[in-house]
Amino acid sequence: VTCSGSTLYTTNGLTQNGVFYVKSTHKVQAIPDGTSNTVFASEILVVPDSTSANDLRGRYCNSWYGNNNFTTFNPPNTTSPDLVGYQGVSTVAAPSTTVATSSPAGLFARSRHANGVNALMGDGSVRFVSNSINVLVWQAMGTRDGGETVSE
Amino acid sequence: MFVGLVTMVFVAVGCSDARMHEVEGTVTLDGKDLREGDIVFTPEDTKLGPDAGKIKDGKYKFKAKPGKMKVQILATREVPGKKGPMGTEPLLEDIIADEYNAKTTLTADVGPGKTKFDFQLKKK
Repeated sequence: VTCSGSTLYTTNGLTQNGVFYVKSTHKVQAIPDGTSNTVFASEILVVPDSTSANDLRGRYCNSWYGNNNFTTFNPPNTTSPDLVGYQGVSTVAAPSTTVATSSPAGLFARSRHANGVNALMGDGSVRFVSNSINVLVWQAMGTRDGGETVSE
Repeated sequence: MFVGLVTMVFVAVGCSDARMHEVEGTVTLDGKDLREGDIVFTPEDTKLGPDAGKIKDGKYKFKAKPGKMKVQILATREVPGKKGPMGTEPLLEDIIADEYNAKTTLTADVGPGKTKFDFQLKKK
């Protein structure tokens, strides 16, 4: 899914600091950090639907707030649960928790790789980002104007 | 170059599972076991990400990095007889006070021999 920035989804999600969020109008030419330093998308993990509950993470249709994008608030494959507002389905690999109605929500980058996730940068390159990346760098990578340059 | 090498070694050690500690303990709310919830340890060192686990029947157990942590405990319940903004889904409310999550005052110092942490919470 696409990256909304480094913050959680609050109120109406209109003011996030990434490129992809509710009613975002940012143009690729106008990303202050540069496209090669800004995450556009990443893998996330979802749980297969069961008869009793649907995992709404990553859905674009018939979804719920905070489920359309991910945030670099927490590092890749964090054990800290995704914060979902409705019908969470949690597993060890893809932990989630149901938050109070209208509380901050957000998904974090996750994958089936042991040590990181593949992140699509704005210039079209794909980087493998380690779980142990400095959280402050990862958060800056999620923003369109964090002022960071990424070096490994 | 030397500095870079030292940093790399430090990072490699920092993320290896060997240094993770299995932390465990109990969580009560007004003296009763917290039936279901989440517990998150966030290092005071903001370069490091959080570690978290599920609380089930008042108990938790998960692997955490060593160091000084802010501890957050999350749990919600469906408000009986009320519906959320769409009118069909349950309205959910926090049952844990802000001082234990959003503005937490709970801490833990994780290290060798320091892995048991019990939290007695009071209703908001």
